[in-house]
Amino acid sequence: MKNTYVIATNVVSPLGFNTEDNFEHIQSQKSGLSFQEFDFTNEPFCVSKMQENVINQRFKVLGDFKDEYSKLEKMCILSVADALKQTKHNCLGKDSVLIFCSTKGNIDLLENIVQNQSFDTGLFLAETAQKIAEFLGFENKPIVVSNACVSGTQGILVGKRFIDAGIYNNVVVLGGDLVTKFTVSGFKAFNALSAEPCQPFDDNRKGVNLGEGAATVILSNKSNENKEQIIVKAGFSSNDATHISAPSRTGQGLLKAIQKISEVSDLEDIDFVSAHGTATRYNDDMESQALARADLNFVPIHSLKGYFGHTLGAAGVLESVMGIASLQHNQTIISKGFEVSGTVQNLNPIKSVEHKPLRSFLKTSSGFGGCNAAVLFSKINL
Amino acid sequence: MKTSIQHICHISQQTISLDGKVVFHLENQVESNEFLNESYRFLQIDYPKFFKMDILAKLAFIATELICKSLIIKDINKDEVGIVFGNKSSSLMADLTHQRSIQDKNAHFPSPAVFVYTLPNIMMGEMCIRHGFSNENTLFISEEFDAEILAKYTNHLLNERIVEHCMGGWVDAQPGNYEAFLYFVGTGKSAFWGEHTAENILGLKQKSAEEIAENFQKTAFESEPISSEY
Repeated sequence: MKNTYVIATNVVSPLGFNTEDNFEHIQSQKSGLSFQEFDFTNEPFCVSKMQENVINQRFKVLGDFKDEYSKLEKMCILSVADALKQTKHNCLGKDSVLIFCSTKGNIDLLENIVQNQSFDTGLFLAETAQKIAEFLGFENKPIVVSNACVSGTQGILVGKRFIDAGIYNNVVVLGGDLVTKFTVSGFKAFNALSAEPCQPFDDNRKGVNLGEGAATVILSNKSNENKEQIIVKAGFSSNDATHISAPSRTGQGLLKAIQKISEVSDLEDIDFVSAHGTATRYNDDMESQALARADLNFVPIHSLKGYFGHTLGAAGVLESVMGIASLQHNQTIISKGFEVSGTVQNLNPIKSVEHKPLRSFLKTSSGFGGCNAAVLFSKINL
Repeated sequence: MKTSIQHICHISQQTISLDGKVVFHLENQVESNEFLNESYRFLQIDYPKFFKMDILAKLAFIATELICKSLIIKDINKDEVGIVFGNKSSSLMADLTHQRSIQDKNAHFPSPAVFVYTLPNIMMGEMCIRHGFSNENTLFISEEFDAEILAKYTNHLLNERIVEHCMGGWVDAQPGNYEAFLYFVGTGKSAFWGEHTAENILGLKQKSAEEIAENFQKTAFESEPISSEY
C-alpha cells in the first residue's frame, strides 16, 4: 500500500488562524478558554469561543460577502483556504475531495427555526459542506462524516482509505463545530461540564469545557517537496457495544482500535499519545484502562482540551494538526491542567515542553454512541 | 474480491418489507413513532430499551432485527461486523425536541435522555449494543442516497478485511417522513440479491420503494388492512 502524506494543515481557533500561531500559543501555555455567560444559568461557564468580528475581519480579505456565510462556514473556509495555500498540488480537481467532519454544523439556526416555524436548509450538513466546497472551488461534491466526537479522527481515517483504495488522490479533511446553547445545555444536563478550566487526567477533574474551531489536514498520495514527511501510517475504529452515553469501563472498544493498529504497525516506539482526554471522570478512566491494556500507559500523553476545549467534530482534526506540529517542531506539548494523577490506571501526562527528536504519535478519540477511533502518524525521510 | 448483498429491509410509508416481501403494514395513518412502536409489538421483539430510542434508532433497530433473524449463515463473527450508513437530516427529530426544551430560558428543561439522540450515529451504537457488532461505524451525510460513496467505501472495508461483514444503508427522518433501507453485505459471490455495487443497491432501493408504494396504493383502494387490527 502506498503512503498517505500529510501535505498541509491549519487550525482556526481563538488562539490563531493558522497552525503556527496556534502551536506557538499553546507552547507558551496560552488557552482559548474563558468564562462566558449563558442565559439559562446564573453560573458562568468556561468555553473556548471565537469572536465573530475577528473572524469577519479575516473573512473580508477573501471578498465582500456580508451575511451570506454563517460563522461556522467562515471559520471553515478560512481554515481550508489557508491549508490550500501551503501546497503546490491541485487539491480542487476531479481527483480530489473535501470531507467535512462535524457533529452539529449550523445547529444555532435551529433556535430561529423553532421560533418562526419556517425551515432553513442551512441546517443540513450536506448543504453547509456544499457551500464551503463551492466557495473554495472544489470540482467534486463534498463528503460529510458525522460520528459524534470521533468525527474528525474518523474523517482522517476515511480520507486515508479513499487514497488507499485509489478513489481520490488528494483528500482535504476539514473539521468544524461551534459552541452553542444547544450543546452547552445538553452537556450540562449530563452533568458533564466543568465551570472552571478543565483538568484532563487529574485527580480533581470535574468535567469537560466545550470549544469551537475549524481545522484542516490535506492528505495526498504524493508527497510535497520537503525531505521530512508526515504520513498517516495506520488507523482503525471500533464500537464499545456497551452503552450509548457512557464509555466502556474496561476501555474495550478503544483497546480494539489500538490493537488493530499494532497488528499492522509497531506501537512500541511511539513518542506520545494525543488522547481524547475530555476531563470527565469516566472518559479519562476509560482511556487509562485501554492504554494500560495496550501497554501504552507509560508513554507520554497529552490532552489538548485545556487549550481548545472540546471542539466536538473538529477535535480529531484539530488535535491531530497540533500533534503533527509537535513532530515537525520536535517539541512535546504539555497536557494542560494536569497536576495530580487521578485515573484508574496511572498515565504519564506531559508536564514540560521538551525539545527532542519526535518520530510518531497515536491520536485517539472516543464519543457518544460507543465509538472509538485511533490513528498513527509517523515521520519519514525521503 | 466479490462482495454481495445477502438481505435487504425497507421501511417507509407505514410498510416494512424484508427481502422483497411485505411483513408489516399499517393502514390507519399514525405518527411515525406510533407506527414504529406498533411494528415492534407486531414483530414480538423483546427489548424494552426500544421505547426510549429516537425515530432514527427505532428505524435502524427494527430493520437490523429483521435482517439478523433471517441471516442464512448463523455463525457470523459479530465482532467483525461494520456499519456504513448514509443519512440526510442528521438527528433533526431529536434536535427539535431538545431545542424546544431549551428555547425559552424561563422554561429550561433539557433532558440527557433526549440530548444523547441529537447525534445521528447513536442509531449505530444501539445496533452494536443489541447485536454485539464492535467494528467500525461510519455515517456519511448527503443530500440524497449516495450509493457510489457507500458502496465504494464498504467494498474497501471488506476487500481490505477491515470488516468481515457490513450493514449498509440509508436511515433518515424528518417531520412527517421517514425511510430506512438496510442491506447486509458479505464477501463471496453467492447471494440472492447479487453483487454489492452502487448500481445494484440504488436499483434495489428504487425497486423496493416502488413495491412499497404499490402496496400502499393497493391497500388504500381495497381498504383491506393487512395488519391494522393488531
